Amino acid sequence: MSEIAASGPSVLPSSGSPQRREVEFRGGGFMAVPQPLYSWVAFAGIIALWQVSISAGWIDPVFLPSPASICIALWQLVVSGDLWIHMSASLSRIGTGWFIGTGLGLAIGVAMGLNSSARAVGMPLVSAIYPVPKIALLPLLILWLGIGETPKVVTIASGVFFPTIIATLAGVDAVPRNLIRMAQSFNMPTSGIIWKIMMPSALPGILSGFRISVSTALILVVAAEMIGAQYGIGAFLLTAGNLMQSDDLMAGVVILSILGLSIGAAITVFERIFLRWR
Amino acid sequence: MDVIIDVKRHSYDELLVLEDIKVHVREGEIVAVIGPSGCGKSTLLGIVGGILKASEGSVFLDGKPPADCLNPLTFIFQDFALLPWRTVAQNVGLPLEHHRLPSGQRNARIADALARTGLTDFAGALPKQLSGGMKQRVGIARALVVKPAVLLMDEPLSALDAQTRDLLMEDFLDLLLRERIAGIYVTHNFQEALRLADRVVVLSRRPGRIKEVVSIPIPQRERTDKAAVITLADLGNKLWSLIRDEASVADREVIHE
Repeated sequence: MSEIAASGPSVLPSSGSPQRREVEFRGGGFMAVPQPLYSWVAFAGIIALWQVSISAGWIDPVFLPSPASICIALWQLVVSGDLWIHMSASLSRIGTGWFIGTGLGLAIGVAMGLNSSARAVGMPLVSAIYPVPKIALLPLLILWLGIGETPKVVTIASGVFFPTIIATLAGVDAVPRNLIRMAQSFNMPTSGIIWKIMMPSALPGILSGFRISVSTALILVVAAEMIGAQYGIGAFLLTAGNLMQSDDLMAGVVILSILGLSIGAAITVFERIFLRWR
Repeated sequence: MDVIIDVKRHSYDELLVLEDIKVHVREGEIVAVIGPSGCGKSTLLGIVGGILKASEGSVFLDGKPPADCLNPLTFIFQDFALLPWRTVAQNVGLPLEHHRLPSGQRNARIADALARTGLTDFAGALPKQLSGGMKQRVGIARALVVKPAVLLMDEPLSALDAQTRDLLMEDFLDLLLRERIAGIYVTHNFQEALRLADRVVVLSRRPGRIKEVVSIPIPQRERTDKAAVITLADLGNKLWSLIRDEASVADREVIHE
């Protein structure tokens, strides 16, 4: 009867050999490591350098106002109530235009994703119109719809509509076919496949599209308000520029930056809630 | 419930994939399908399960499904096909959602399927939190929840590591025999075919035709006995000799999407 020899702990040879050497580490790097402190220090450093440059007279404050004067301009906007007037006008236009454009874009994107005929009809139109800067349509829209709020809202909606279609279509196309076959193998009805399989699966792509479309809406609202509006961040920027009030102008830019960051943060929160499964 | 497969031919455009496949799977019987890569095994399973339509030929069901059966032909997928945004219990309950079951009955079915696959403690977990073996258990529980008559299994263990595969295969076999569920089991792995199947259908290289049907004369419960080892080894050699040359040629072929 054969026996399996018992094995003990392995023993390493002594280190007497002259050819013995340690294997050098060759890995590491090529990976993003979070460095939040660096970000804040760099940001604070740039602001400080900017302030010093103005205070020392190296830069003319008419061309570039100091961070301190921008803060003062911002504070005056807040206490005078003008900030709220301009913000509410811009946010109302962005909100209305974005919801209309996104709602239609989602519906048409899903239809094109699910129906080959809708795709065949829609794709050439989308491809042809998507690259057109939508602000170029504003004069035409003013001609059609008058000088009021409607052309501005339609400009924003049309700017949001096309990226939403493309993101939704890409999201629907990326739904793993095996999940659809699985649902079909259980005789799940088509509506169930759309709502329980396709839409949740396409959601990451759709939310990425939202991120792009919100930025587009922000660009378009400023541009539209510069062309024809009394109130709104764009109108405020244009007036400040015409009056050479560069501190007000920069305050408007800061407001836009904060607005963009806030909307981006809101979408991130939305993604964390709805895409926690990723 | 019997499954009668009579697929005369199936092709993708000009590419003939399957030809003259006639198999009768009897109630409670487990039939493995093996063959070289690209011979149409998964296609055949898709046709049997009704998610692919044969170019010519049909598949028939004969007999009554078990009581409470909601989906007589039920798949277990190689890649698990779980919804990543749903918990284990929600994935298992998915096939019940379009049936008008009272909530008590629905919950009882889910709890039963989870218990039979050892997933009760993982009901609230998301798929990303599970190992490959546990994910496939969810796939099995999702199949059991509809009380199937026939399980259609497309290499259900091939995505798993060898240890998990062995463990799950025994659980799988236990389940199939205990529940008297018939199964069609597509695999590349002779050991799985020899462990699970009553009969092994050997397909030729594309276009897949039935080359031979090999019966395994030993009951599944006795196949781990020493006395069975030599017979099973002989059968394994026979299966390998049936596909070895064609498998070698198939390995060098261009894949047709």
